[in-house]
Amino acid sequence: MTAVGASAEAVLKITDLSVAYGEGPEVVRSLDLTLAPGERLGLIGESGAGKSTVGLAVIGLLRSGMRITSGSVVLNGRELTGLSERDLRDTRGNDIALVYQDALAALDPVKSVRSQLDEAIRAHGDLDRAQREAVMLDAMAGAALPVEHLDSYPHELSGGLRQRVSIAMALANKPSVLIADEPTTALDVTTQSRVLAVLDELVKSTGTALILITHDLGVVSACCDTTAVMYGGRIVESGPTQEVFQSPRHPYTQALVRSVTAIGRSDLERLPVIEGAPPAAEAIPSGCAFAPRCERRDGDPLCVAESPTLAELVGAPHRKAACWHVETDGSDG
Amino acid sequence: MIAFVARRLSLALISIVGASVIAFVILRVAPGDPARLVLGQFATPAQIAQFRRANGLDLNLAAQYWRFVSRFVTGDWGFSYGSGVPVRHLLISRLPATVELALTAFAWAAAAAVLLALACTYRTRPRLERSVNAVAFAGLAAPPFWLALLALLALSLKIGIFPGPDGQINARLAAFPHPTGFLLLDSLLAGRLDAFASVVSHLVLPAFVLGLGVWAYLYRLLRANLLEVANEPFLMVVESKGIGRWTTFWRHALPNAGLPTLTAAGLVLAWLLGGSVLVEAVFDWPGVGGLVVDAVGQKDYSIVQAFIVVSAATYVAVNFLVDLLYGVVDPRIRTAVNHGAQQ
Repeated sequence: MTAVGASAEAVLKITDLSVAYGEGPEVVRSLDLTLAPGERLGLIGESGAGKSTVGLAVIGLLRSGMRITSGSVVLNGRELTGLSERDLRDTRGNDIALVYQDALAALDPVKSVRSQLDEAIRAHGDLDRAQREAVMLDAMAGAALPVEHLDSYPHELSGGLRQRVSIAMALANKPSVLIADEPTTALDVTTQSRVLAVLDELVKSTGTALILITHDLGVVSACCDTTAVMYGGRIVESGPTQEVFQSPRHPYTQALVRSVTAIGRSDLERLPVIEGAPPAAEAIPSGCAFAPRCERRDGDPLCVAESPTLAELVGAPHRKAACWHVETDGSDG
Repeated sequence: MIAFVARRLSLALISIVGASVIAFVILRVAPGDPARLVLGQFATPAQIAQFRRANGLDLNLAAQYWRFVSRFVTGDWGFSYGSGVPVRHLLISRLPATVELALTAFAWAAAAAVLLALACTYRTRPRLERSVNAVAFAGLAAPPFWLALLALLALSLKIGIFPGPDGQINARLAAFPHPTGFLLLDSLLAGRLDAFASVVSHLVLPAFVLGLGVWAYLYRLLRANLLEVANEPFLMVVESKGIGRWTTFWRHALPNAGLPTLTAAGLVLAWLLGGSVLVEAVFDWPGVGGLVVDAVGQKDYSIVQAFIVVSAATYVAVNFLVDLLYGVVDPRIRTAVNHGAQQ
């Protein structure tokens, strides 16, 4: 699979994106991200790292008060920032779609599955009733939903079924990018894997590129080609999932991977934790955001003075990291 | 569903019977003797006894009540003690004017409440919201009869764009058949556009004055409920499908936020249908409000009783419709009802 950074054929290219809350602090800071067609990218990080905000900024649905302060988002060669509300509307649900994190809150409780699914299809294109019905049945089948649920209401469905309805709705128009924001956090473990399997299958068959926002490393390693790790509103490391997890280079990624239990691990010692807490948006240090918690920094004044840029690793150009202490093309070594 | 409807209907019947009992007892307990009122101060005891016997006033309360109810259901609502006219005719001749005014006032108030509540919540618009809130506050606080006088003074007397307080229609134009009693409808049926225009211009001020408080009340309630659902994730999901924000609010926020307002609207509509005494008085509106106030003053029992039963029936009917609408709007209520019926 293509690595992050293969820009020539990118379906989504985010450059220097910053999002701020009102006039206040930036929650996403100069973020770069590129997504190839069909690529499945896991965007991971702790709560408050800004990963959900990235997703909402890309689809243009930031909560009121939040705004994009700089940068560009190019979808299929088209700049999205600064687009009129009407043009954005044409894009949403058609070229780019969203699966919301809380399956139980994502559907309108007073509308049937049919009407909510139909709404998504009807918003784009002039299909007649029979054609829309066909698209609907197709979408239901794709999400492994029994047809009889078409006339169900959300309260009659389990969380897993509801999330599959959300997925069917998001993918009904075969968008080129799907943003799935913690799509399984509200579900129990067995339902989780079922929903993920459906999502994975559907994304593959429609050729949709996926940004899977999660804090669950297991989910990412199971179904993402590439991984980007966020910390303090920035991406600190990115690359092919297996490589990032097997040989993490950024000290934050390393700590993150260490803190995950491995099944079959024999030692009964406590799991390592990352000391301290991630910075609040208004208190992100001026240098590297991770510096105060970093074990590798060792008093280096550069880390707190200047923010390292995300640059290709020396000897592994398909991987990137933002750390003064990792050998990258952007640093002096 | 049938069980649900049957249950609601029997409850409705009980409510109406209860209202009729209360109306009956309160009027009988109140001081004053209708026989004395009708026959005057100089009637002989024999005449009074004769009157009381003829009108069933000599029976005990239970028997009187039974006499009233059994006649009421067959359409015999008794005679007005004051004028001798059958009560049913009196009420039916006065009801259309009240209903016409009530429905007009309710229609504009409800429509404006929904539109403005949506307009003030679907996006943050501080300036619009502040001004609408201010008007709503004034609308709630201002007594309708005072507003009525003010409106007449400004718009009829000073500027003259609306007619003065002379009822429903310019009397010179009123000569056309009244098959329904609703002048808006009757004037159109008769093809009399001049009369229709006169009816409309007579309707504007009283309907505005009567509806203002209703609008303010419904607007504030709906706005509060809309603000509560405005941040629900499912609205964002709807937008992510490519639906505009206004449509999202209209289609999804409104039905989710609207149930309390629906209840309130039902109560308000029933209240309006009972007739507004003060507004009718100011505009010389030939509705039931004035009729009933006069009847209370004259201890014209039969009119007051019939009115109370009719307005109780209106309340119950409107609320029954609201209950049914609840199920239409919210499928969860439908399910709960069906489950309840199975048990």
